[in-house]
Amino acid sequence: MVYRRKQESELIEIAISRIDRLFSLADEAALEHNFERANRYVELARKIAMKYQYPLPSKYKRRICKHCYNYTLPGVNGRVRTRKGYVSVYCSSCGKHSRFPFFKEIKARRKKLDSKPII
Amino acid sequence: MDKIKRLMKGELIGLKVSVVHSKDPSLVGVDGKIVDETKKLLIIESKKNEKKVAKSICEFEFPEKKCKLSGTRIVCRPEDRIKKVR
Repeated sequence: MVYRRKQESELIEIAISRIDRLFSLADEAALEHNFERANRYVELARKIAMKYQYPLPSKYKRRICKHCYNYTLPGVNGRVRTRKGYVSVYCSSCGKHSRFPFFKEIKARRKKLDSKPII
Repeated sequence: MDKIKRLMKGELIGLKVSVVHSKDPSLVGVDGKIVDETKKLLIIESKKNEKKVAKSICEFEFPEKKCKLSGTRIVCRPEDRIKKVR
């Protein structure tokens, strides 16, 4: 557990609010098909997160390409498909696939089914 | 934290702004939404076009936050502003 001074935690709160704001702005820009601007906002958000050693939340990680860090808008910028155990997102700008596995959910479901009594 | 400090450390992109006073008289009266930010510039988009405005020679007013700010206080890279601004 990293020890952070009280003063620093205030700054991290500001950083978190800025990252949230930047991703919502990127979403708005992408819906207007302005992908240059959306990528610029993603770049700024990543820089802030890196500066304060704050890992991006997974909901934002899923919206960007893992390889080129472009903002992905499903249907326009990329193709989203489900495969066995993971979601595969294809980025049309760099031509690479990103995988987002959901093993936790599968394991939890299996555990739930195993715990039920067999009639 | 002070209201102005929170504004200076917070996110400026997406806020509406207007230039109140400037060394360059052609920049006075520029208003619109901030679209991008670099170390020494604010890129403001108004109805007509995008304008690159130097921070160090202007005074800005944020109508939504109801405060004025001198540009020299925020001459800084956007990711550094959280820590550096006093």
